[in-house]
Amino acid sequence: MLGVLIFAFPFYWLIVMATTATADIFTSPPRLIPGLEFFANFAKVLNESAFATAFVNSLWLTTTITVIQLFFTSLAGFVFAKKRFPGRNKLFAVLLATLIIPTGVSIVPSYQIYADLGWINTFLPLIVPGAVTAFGVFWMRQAAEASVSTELIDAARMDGAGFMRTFWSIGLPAMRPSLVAFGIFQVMWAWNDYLWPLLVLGSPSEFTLPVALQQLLSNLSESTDYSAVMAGTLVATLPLIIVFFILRRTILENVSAGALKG
Amino acid sequence: MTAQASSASATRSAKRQTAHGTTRGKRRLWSYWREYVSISPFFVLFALFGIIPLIYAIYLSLLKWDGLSNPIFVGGAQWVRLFTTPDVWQALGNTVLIFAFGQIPVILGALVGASLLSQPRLRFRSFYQTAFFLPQVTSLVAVAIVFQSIFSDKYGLMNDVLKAIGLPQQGWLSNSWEIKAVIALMIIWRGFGYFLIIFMAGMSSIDQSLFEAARVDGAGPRRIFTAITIPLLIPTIVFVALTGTIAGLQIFTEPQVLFSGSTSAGGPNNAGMTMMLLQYQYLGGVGSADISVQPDLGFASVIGWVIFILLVVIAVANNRLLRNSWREN
Repeated sequence: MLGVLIFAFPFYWLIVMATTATADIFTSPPRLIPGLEFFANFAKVLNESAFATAFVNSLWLTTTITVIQLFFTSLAGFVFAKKRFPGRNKLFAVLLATLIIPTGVSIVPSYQIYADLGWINTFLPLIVPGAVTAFGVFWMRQAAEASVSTELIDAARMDGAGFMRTFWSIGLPAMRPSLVAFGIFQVMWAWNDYLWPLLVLGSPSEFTLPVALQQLLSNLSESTDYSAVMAGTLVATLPLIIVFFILRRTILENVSAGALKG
Repeated sequence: MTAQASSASATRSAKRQTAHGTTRGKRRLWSYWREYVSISPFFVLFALFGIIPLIYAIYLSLLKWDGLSNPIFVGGAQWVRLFTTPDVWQALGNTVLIFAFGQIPVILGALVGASLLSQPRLRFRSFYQTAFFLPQVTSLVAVAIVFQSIFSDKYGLMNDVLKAIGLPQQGWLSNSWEIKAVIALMIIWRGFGYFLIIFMAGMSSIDQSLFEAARVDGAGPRRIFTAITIPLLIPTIVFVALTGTIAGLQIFTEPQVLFSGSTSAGGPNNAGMTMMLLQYQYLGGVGSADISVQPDLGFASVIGWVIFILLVVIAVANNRLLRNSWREN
């Protein structure tokens, strides 16, 4: 119980800071109760930075990435789980092996490749290379293995359903809980992604929320003040917290469902 | 295939049957084109953005290149430079220390926590899970911003609290060890719930009758933990240790945000400089304002390779270690 309080404290502190006027933040002893200045603080963020743009960017980018990811990983996962074809197991083993390749080594060359493709200052490096992740395919294969009925697939085939039709009307509906769960994780990762947006997005009109927040913080001395940064941080954090509370059960049940029941 | 054979009575599949009938048994690869096309996006993208960068990284590591003027081929000079650049060794040391203070305790703590929260009599289990998992949904940038405000030297909450209870104030974000401790705390705070949930899921798939039997045989909670829970949890532990190590040694965001706006990228005396952050400096990325570092993509690649090699070595060792310890039990 004490642990829960300690874990909840940074959230509480964020709320306190975001709702207190800057002048009142740095008092000693510190204020420990939330104030009433949230809207004033948030207005400062909106006025002094492209925060609203960053919010919209994060929103559509996260949605795009998640939809693309869900489609390709569920298709590949479905095929790996429910279809037989030469080399299936070997290809899947290769896919799994790629999971342990650390990304750190390819930052420099990847950046150069994006530069050569003319992708710097666009959203493409954030969308295309990660459109299908090995982890996602793995997760979806486990899901299809566990929940898509082979009898139904055979029955559909007897009724003349084609390849895509079978996937669309038999595979996807059965995999729905896993799609939701993996989708939430994908949303989480995309929303919070930081290193690559920081590297490839050059102007405030392109920034996503984490980059915009970092910019706010590093420009702290010049323009914005601390409470404003905190108000921005709170607003950037809230959407995922709300999603988390709504879909709590699905998330918690699936954190490792895809990864471990192998 | 058998499914097709059994469906021979249906008219439509009978048609298909004849189409494939002649090549049955030696069905050609092209007849599986739909399957291959379905799984191809991953492999195509991996080749383009996974393999090619790796090969390119080898070539880059032989160059001296600021990214603007013409690259100069210097052979192994960048690799030699590795051993004569103290920054690299400092960053390597910092990375390992932060890993040891942050990632290792959080994984072990989550393992113990999961076993406590998996007690069948526990009430409000999902409440605990929710509370501990919540930090995981927040962005690292937000976490770093909040932690910065709590641990800030001058006006930080932590120092106010220390003052109030009569303890000496600490230079949380200026002293070498305190900086590492704060970064480690961020890792622990954000990662605990994630590992906790994974371990709990692993534990819930263990056959409950094993615990019952052990209890009947008079085994205490600690004995059950070491003799049943841990051995049966080995696949989960391997997975967590592996992914945790890969993530833990590539720490970047925490120090980057924590010290953004300060004059040196890794904080005072670069005490929070990690390998990834150092690589970022040599890459000349946004906000890498460190004047002492000249952008050099060749050297950045070499640092990337050091991280890569380190992780592979640790992953292999990790795997061996866990398997051996399991066999001994």
